[in-house]
Amino acid sequence: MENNDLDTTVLESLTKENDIYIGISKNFAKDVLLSQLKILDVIQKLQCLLLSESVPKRDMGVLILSTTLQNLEQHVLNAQELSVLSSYFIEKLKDHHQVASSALKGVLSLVLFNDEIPKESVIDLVSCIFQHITCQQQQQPHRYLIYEIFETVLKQHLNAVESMGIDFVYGVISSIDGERDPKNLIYLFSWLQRFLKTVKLGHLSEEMFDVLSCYFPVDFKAPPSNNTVAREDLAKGLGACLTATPDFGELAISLALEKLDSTLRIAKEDSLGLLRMGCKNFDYETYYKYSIELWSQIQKEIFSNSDIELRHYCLETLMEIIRKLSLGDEKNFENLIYDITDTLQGNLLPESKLFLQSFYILNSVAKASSSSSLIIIKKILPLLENTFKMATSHRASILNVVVELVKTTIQHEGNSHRIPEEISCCYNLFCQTINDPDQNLCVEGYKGLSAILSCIPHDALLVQLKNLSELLSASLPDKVKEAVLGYFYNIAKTYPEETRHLLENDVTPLDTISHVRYLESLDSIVMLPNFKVYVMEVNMKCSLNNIKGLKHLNELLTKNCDGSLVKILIEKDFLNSLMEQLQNHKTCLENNYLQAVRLLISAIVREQEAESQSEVYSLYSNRNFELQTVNVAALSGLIVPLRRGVFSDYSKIGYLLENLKISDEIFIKETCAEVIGNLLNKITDELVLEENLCHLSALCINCETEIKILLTSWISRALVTRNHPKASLWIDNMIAILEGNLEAAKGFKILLNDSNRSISKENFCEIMPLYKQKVFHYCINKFNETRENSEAHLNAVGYLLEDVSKIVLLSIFQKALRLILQIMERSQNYKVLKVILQRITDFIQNGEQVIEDNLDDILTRILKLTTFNASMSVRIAALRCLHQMVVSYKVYKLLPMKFMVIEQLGICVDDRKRLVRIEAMECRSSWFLLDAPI
Amino acid sequence: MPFGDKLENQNPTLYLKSADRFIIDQDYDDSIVDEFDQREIFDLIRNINDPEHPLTLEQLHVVQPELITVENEKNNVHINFTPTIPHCSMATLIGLSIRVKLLRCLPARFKVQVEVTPGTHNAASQVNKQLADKERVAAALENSHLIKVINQCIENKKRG
Repeated sequence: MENNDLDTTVLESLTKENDIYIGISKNFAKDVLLSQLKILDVIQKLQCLLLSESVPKRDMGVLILSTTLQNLEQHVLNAQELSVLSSYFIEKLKDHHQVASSALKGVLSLVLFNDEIPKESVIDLVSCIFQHITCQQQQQPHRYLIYEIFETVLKQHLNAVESMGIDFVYGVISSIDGERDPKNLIYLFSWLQRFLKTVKLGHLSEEMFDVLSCYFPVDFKAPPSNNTVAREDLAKGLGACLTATPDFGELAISLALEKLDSTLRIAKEDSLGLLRMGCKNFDYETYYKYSIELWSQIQKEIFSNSDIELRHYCLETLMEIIRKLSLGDEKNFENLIYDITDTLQGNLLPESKLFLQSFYILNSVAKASSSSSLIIIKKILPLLENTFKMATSHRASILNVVVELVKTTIQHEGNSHRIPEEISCCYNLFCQTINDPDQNLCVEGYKGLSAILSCIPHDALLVQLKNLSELLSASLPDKVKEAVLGYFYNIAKTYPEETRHLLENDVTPLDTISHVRYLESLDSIVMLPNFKVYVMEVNMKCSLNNIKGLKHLNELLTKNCDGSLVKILIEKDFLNSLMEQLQNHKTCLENNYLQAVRLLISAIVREQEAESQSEVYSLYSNRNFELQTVNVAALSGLIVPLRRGVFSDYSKIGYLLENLKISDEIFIKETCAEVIGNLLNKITDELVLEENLCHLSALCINCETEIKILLTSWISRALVTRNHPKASLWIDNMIAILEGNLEAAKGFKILLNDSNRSISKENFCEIMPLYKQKVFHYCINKFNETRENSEAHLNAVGYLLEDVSKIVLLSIFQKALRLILQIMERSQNYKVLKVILQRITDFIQNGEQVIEDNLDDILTRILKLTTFNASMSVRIAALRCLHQMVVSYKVYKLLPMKFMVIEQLGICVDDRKRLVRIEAMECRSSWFLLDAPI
Repeated sequence: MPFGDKLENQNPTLYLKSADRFIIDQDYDDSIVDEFDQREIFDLIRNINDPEHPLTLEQLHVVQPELITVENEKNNVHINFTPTIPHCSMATLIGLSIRVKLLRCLPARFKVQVEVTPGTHNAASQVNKQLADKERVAAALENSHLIKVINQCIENKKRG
């Protein structure tokens, strides 16, 4: 509606419930902005409302005027206009309370005009609110509005606030006193911090603190539906306010001490938070004044409270406080730390119940500052050393304490010369323990040496290094090995030259097993820039010599997959050396070795760009090795990781097919089929693909069943992953082979399983999203067409179920249910049965409705499988499934089946395998307790 | 606490829990028959809760593997349990809990005998007699208050 058409009747008919007034206000604002109207004209137009005797009409008039002001931009109104408007709104604030609430909106808009509005007007407006509006009697949104006005004034009219002085503080205090709404509180806490920091509170600081501290600790439970305000946010905001100004120091610390003594966990947590936050703004003197109370209270809390999290808070708080205290007078601080060590040193006997807690306290105090750590080291370390020498048990724990304290000090001091001699003395202690038969002691010894590495004399270090190099190939318990390698890593990082020199000159001959251990140890430093090339060279050498080395290199590359290691292999032309080595093989090779070769070649080729890949391929693809297995392994390693569009040598498909047909080696057959699948997936030219597919389908008709299964499965996978229209045709082929052929079901495992990486994204294959879902739907529909499925069909469904995602399975569970039940009844394939039982257990655990809906059908089948004779894993899976039901489902659903289940489980508890019996007994017990009174 | 508000044994001695049974490859071989043994029965009853303390019978050494005899061919299981103090009024209740647990978990072919370890309880013969009497056990299990306490003892809060 255009405002030109506005007449008295329209204006008088407006109500707050209807949004029309907002539109009118916006139009007014637009007209004022375009200078078509003056603000005076607007007021004139609203005359009938503003001057009305009826309160709702006056209210509406003020509301429209306020909303209009809200929609105006800066600089549109001049100072004089604003001054007049302010006076007008001051009058309105004194008007009827309904009108005053709407006027608040206008006041907010006015104070937002930061440049033009005169200071006096702002003061008048704010004073008027203080005098005439009783904040806490307003409704929640209006109170929020008042706080917004205060915040804006504080933010944009600081000079006005300064001139008001203590009056402003008083006004704010009286306005916020008693606020209860969490939303308002969270807003208050957010801006009061700035208020407290900028405004001088004077003699009102205690009043201000009282108004705020009444909320402490925040004991507020948000209703579950309303997740806008959380207790933590409120507590954080309040904490920040209570610690915003040094004026609150003493008050806040006494408050925190008082509440820390309470039994309420929240009170303790918030008090500790308050003490921590206070360290930012409060003075050092304040903390010093309360240091004795603080220390004794926190110490008591750490010793007596069993809540680990709270103890952790206590330690953190203690650390912050000590850090704060360390900034003040040095003498006082030292005395305090001496007090602490004196109190705690009596507890440092490992039999003492407070041993560990005392150590935690000392370590936190040491972490707080450099000087505290030095005092503690000087005072405590000799004591601990003595205890260690005398102790007969718990020696590792004492040593651990020594190591941790030493670490803390070294972190403070770095390499500076201030490191006390007590630490250097630890060297002997650590050296003694690394040869101790007690593994834990040995581990701590190495950790200690790592910590004091910078203090070890150079000569001693060289001896250490020599000893270490011998340990690299030794057989050690896992944790000792880990500690040794950690130490070795630190030395290598700090002294690369010395370490390198030693490693290069170490010529001790090693047997294969020790050699692999040596390589594994070197893995720990492979990512250090100084050692990368060296370690890779050692690995390359070893991998050419034996299969273990080759496997290890593969593992190393998979663990550190950032490509930098492979780059070194490429730079050193390792591929060439490997090919040369392969040339030497004359006798039959293990499949393991061939797989490892394949993986390694793939890893190297994968990292290269298309152009280099093409070069590498043409260089090596036509090599003729003596052994056919090596030929296939090398070729597959070269082809599989090629980027899309690089491969064009289609004659190789014929070669692979030929191998597939004539070879007896299972490795050759599987690999050839995989590679063909990989190639088909990556062919970009549709015609070429079509041609190849025609050829392959003709070939499939005549070949042996085994080859047919392999080839069809891999071709199907290649097509389904790229979402090819012909895919369904090939799946139909797979289903057709299932007829009368139990083995064919395994093909369906290939179809969806991602664990074989030949057709995967990392090898630049095209993997469309949701392909599994499509295949699964298609297959289930196909299988459902036949009334009676053979066992091969059922197994195929089982293999599909294994790899399909939960959501997909749930979406067509009803369709698949008939097949699943048939499998559970008839299949003898334990792998398939296990998969299905695990899936059902998973569904039960997550409380899926589908199982509950068909509980009768499913439960009877599961019961039958609890005595599945051929495999104990199926029996166990079935029993776990039954047990899960008791945990997840409501009693009344299961009760009708209780006696049937208990009777059947009576047979299972006499199973021939103990592991099955354990499950059965537990399961039976839980079914007995199903509805039993507890 | 089920009976009264004063603990009979206020400060029982605690013992360490034994480690879980080590599983060997043989256990996964479906063709080998595993006979019931001492340890298996012990594993069944070790986690029964004491009626008085939040502890298991194993932690209080009320049941111990050495005091269990299993005769697989004769279908006999014999268990001696040791009350923590000689005048323990919970002895019958503990015995009943062990009986009920085994009744529910062991195959029906076994004849289970639960008795107090000789010389560890003042009224051993009385307790033994009660536990051996099928009628009395059945009657006890029909007492709703009693069965509630027994169920609480048997309920295994921790799996395994």
